[in-house]
Amino acid sequence: MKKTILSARGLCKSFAHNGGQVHVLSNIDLELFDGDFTVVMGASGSGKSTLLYTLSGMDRATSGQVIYNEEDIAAMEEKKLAKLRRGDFGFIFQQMHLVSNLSLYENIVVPGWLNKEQPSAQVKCRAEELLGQMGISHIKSHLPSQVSGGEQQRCAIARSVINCPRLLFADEPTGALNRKNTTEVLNLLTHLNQQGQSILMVTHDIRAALRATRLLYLEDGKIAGDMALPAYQPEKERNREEQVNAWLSSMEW
Amino acid sequence: MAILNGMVRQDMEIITLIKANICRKKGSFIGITLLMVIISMSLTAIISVQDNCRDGLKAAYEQTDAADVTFSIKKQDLSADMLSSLKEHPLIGRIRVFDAIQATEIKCGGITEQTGWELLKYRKEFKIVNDAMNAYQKEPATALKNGEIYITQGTMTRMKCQIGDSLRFFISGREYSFQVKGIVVEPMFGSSTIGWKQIFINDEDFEKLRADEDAQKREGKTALYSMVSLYKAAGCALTDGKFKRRINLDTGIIDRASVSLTKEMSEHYTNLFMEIIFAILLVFILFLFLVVLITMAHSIGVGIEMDYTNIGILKSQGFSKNKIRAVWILQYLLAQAAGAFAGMVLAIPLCNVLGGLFWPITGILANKNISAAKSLFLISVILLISAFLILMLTRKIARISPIRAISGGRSEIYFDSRFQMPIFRNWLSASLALRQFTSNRRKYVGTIVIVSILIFFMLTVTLIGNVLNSKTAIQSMGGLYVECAMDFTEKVNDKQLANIEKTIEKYSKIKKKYYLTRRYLSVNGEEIYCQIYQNPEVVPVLNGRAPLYENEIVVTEIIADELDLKIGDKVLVTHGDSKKEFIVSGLFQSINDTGLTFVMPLKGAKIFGVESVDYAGYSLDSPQSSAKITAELNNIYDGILKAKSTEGGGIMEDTYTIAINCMKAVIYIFSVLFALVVVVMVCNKTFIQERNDIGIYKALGFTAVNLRIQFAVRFFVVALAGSLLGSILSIYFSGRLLNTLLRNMGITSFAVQFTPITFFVPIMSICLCFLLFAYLAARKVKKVEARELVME
Repeated sequence: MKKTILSARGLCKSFAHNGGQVHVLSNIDLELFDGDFTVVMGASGSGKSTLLYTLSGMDRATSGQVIYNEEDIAAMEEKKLAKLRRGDFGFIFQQMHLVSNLSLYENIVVPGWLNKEQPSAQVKCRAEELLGQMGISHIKSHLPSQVSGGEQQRCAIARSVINCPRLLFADEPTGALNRKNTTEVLNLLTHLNQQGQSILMVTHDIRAALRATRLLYLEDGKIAGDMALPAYQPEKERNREEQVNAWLSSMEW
Repeated sequence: MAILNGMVRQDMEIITLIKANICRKKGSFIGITLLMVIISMSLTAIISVQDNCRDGLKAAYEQTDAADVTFSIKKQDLSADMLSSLKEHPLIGRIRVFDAIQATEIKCGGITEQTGWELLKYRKEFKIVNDAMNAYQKEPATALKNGEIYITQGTMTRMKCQIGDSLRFFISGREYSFQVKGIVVEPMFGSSTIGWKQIFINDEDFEKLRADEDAQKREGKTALYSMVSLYKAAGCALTDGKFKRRINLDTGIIDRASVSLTKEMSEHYTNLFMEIIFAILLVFILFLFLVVLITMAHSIGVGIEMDYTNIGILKSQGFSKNKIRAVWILQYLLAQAAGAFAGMVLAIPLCNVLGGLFWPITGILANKNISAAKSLFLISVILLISAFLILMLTRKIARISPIRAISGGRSEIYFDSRFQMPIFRNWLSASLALRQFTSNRRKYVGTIVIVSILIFFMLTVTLIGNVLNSKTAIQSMGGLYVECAMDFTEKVNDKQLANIEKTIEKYSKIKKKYYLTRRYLSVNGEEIYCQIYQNPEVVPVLNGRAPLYENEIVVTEIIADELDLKIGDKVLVTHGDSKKEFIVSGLFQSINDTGLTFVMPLKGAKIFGVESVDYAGYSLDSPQSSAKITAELNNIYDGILKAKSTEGGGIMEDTYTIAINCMKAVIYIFSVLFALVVVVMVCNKTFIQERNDIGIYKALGFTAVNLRIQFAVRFFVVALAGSLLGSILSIYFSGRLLNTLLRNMGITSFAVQFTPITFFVPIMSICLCFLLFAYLAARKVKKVEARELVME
């Protein structure tokens, strides 16, 4: 029996548009489980990113609840949300969004220090370890503008897990990368998941979707499909790809 | 009309763009407008008040038929021959002579003044001021009754008296009491900056005083004087000073006078204080304009970077670089022009307030007109300079390539340095703020310069304030500040002086003592105020040494410049029929007679009939004992001296202190206002530039309060850096600036006294304003959701 890490009840998100309302998320009920690599797919405008940001507390839901640790994130005050982002949640963005005047090392270490859960030396140690894991130790003192997009995204991944978050949110993390860098980033995420990291990732890239242990399909703001997958094994990628493609076709993707 | 319509149609796109830009960047334009309001308002008010005071004085001179040279001479010294030689002098057009009675002392309440007071018959040409003290009385003045007097505002300020108060006059030892009936405008001696004063009484009282004086025969002494007014002949092109000197060289009459004043010098003394205050404020405004230019430069620089893509789009749509630059120039000039206009309107009430501030000093009723033409001219110059600057700053618009701009190919806009300021866990927000500052220093250079200018002026006015309250500073600038002063009514010898000192030292140690008398003596034909010291070694000299020998004098730098003298030069000093050659042994400074003064030792002055000093002043170690000392001295030496205690009194007259404090307040308030506008403008731009980073920080778990503190700390650091620069500038240049501005007052070497408090108050005011205003300006951080910031 999997343990629920985050759940949504009757989640709705609407935007005002041309005097009317556009319903992006409609009454979504969802449970995310500990240790899952959950991937959300869907056509453009289906509400994937909105779902991710609403679940993570980066955006406020119009109605409904997002329960984490028996608390409703949707109704949480700003200070508590900040604390949540600091320790329990990690974020990876499509455009990396590293702080431009901090070195790669500092970009990783600053959220660790901000969290104050770990001693300073431990944060530094973990940052070094992550830099090594991500293969960017040799450029740790470089500024983001001095490294490639792939290296920036690896740094962003290291930053997102510095505080060992319970849940990692990733918004199309390979969207701005070339093929080689995409594979590297996906390998890193898969590796993290296999070490027990829960991940919720939004993507429209089928190669990224292959890494999932659970696939969600979003259509018109509703969850239209939910499929469980075994843990990713590179040697079985071809079979997995066929399975996922078939499922996506059934979703009319 | 058709052509105009065509032009309007042609330029509609420019108007549309300007409207759109102003709406989009209203914060910046409001900031520029506010800064211009302050500049235009102050400039217009200062110029208008200056013109009003100058015009008011000139009108009063005309109204009272003020002479080019006025002097007071003992009636017995103005012989018929002397008078006829004056009348026949080719440079003199006409002469007016009025009888006067000189009082040696005047008292009101606890205030006693000994400087020359002359009582004259009231003449209708001196207009009476109304009860509100803001206009002349409309109805003709009722005749003065016996025992009533009219005084000038200068007398009122000095004696701290009101209409209805009684003034006691001492004439040849006799005491008379008069009641103040009203205030008259007498422009020649009326200002409180001029020591000599005229008091007006009715004809009957005057004749009674004259009869009393005539009845009391005193050998060689008299209180009967003649006030002589000399008017230049038509066609005489000499300045008033040269005219006076020429008359004196030809007749020697000024040497015999007890006081003389030219209209030019009267004008100089009357407007002196106002001119100095306004000179300081005008320099301040000039620098504020520089602040506006820097702020505008920053706004344009950042604006172009942020509008990079839009400019590229406009270019791709066929807008020429000149058209785009025209839009930028017009939008900023519009903001400035709006501020300038509003400032001119607001200057009207300010003019009334400022004009009233100087009435107690000048004693002249000034109009409340706005010098519109002059102000408009200066504001046009400001706008022209601004237009030129904008033209220069918008040159980079020409270099923007539409393709590169649209494809987002601009270089990193918000980060220009690789300087790595370390980040610490314990001071995370503060060290991140420092990093943001050090990694983008260029962006803050303008703000640092602005703060340094504001701090420089705040420190400069604080220095003036320090001097007002500093005995040592006043003394080092040649001023006499003593707690115990006395005038000798009889000749005193050295033994008596030693006994007086012993009496004083029973209560307090004497820190400094001054024994002197004063005379007007001619130096190379120029009548100059001379301070004759029995102990000239106490005179603080700037160069050379004190006049220790009987043939030595020290002169002020102003006299040295006027008479082209340097140390070692010989000068001829004359008085009446006596003359003697002296050597200039040094230079000193003095605020007496606005620096037109010199010092000689008593032993050197004997040739001019000066046998002893008539004044002693003591600076005490324990000032609080001065009241007891003066009481005892007046008791022991009754009939020989009149001692008075100045303990507890201000160093400077209240009126001057108020005016200087007003100037200080204006500079402090404007500095804080400028700090506010600049911080808000720069913060808003920075916020827009760093919106993405703020979003990232929020996503990482920084709270809005964390981020606002970072913002505030960064601007606090900027303010601190600017304060440091401003302090260094002040240490090097405040003294020089004040020497230039206060030279007219006689100060050529300002006693700059920096104390920790001098720096602390202005620096903390500005830094805390920056901290607070930056924190408030960064409130937008709170209102924006993290996702909204990240997903641009």
